[in-house]
Amino acid sequence: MNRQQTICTISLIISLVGLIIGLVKMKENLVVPATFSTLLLTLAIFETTQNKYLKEWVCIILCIGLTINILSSFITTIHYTPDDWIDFYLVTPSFIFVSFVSILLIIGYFNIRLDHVMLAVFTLFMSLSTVSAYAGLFLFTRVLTKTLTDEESKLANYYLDASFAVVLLAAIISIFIIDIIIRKKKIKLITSKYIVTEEK
Amino acid sequence: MQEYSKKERTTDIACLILFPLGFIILAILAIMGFSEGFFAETYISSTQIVSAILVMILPVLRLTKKFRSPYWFMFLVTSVPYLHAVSLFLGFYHSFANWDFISHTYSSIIVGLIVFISLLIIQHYTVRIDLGSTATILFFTFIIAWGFGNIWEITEWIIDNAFGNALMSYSVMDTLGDLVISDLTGAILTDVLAGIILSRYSITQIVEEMNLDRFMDRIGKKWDKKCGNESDD
Repeated sequence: MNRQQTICTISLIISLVGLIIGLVKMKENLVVPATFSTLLLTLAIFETTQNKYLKEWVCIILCIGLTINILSSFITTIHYTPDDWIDFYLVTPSFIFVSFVSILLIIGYFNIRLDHVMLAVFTLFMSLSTVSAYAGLFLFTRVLTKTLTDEESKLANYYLDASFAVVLLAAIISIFIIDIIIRKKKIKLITSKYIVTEEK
Repeated sequence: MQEYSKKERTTDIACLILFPLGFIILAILAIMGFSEGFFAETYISSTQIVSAILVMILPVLRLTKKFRSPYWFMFLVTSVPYLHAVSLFLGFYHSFANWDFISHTYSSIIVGLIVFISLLIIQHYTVRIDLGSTATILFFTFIIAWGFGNIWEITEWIIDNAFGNALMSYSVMDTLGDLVISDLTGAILTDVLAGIILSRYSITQIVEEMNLDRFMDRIGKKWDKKCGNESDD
């Protein structure tokens, strides 16, 4: 087992534990991200057995993002209070990691060439649309199963909109950090050779 | 590069005057208390004024020859603030049950088309940047178009906070409905439309019609120069 497989396997175990606990406790806010993480990590482990597999740094970012996602969902499942939206604040930042890696995977597997600006723009919008998808998958079910008064609904709306602003800010800060790292490495054009390797 | 004819110049001047004129009339009528909307006159009239400024951008860019957008594009973009501002003035958001969905979906399609055209321009005028196949261009169009819905919701939140009232977003279901139903529908429809366009025309055919050569050639070359990895040469 190489290092990429080891990192992915540890994260996969955390995801599976999260998935089992989520299913046993019937908590959709743990089941949804855990299923998502399990699928992605299984795919990542599968990829490491192929000719063309992910480089270690991509694997590390993917695993960090997904593990934070699962752990934060796990914490909010234990301290679940239906009236606050703390889980949204906790879970969404990890989607920035996941979005970044998704863009890297697309660059790696579809032979796309991007510079810092385009990578930043795509990561930012991928994060935003992932959050929209997350809002759709998770929050919609949560809101629909609760009977909210108009006043509560307005308050919840402010939390939700504020969360989007937090996500946008977090995405911009992350992109800034990613940009500094890429510049330090003197990579001007991000191509598949930085993401995947064909070495065995 | 096509010549900038006298007829085009006259049309652009007409657009520059006529596009904001409608909003100015609506703003004056709103101040005079003729609006049918359920919102305060200040809010309705300020929306009209902001819209009037926004719709002048494309005609100004054409007149200054910075960006000669096709007329179909200019009219489509201008229709978005008109749809919102006129609906606000006439109170359509409250009179018709699904007006918010129609308005959001339509805006999402237009934003998506702007994104799509921008990506095609980047693909066409840069050598080093490569957005890949039609499928990946459509994928990037989709995520950016949908992501913009999120930015719009943040804008609504900022405006509501600035005015200290729930002027633009009413409930959590409203925000989620906008994002998950209207914006997603708009992004999907944009992709379908973009897919049809790309199956009939090449990227070169679509982009060259816009007469961007002089401006974009320079930008594209500059961009390529910045992207040059020593190891890639």
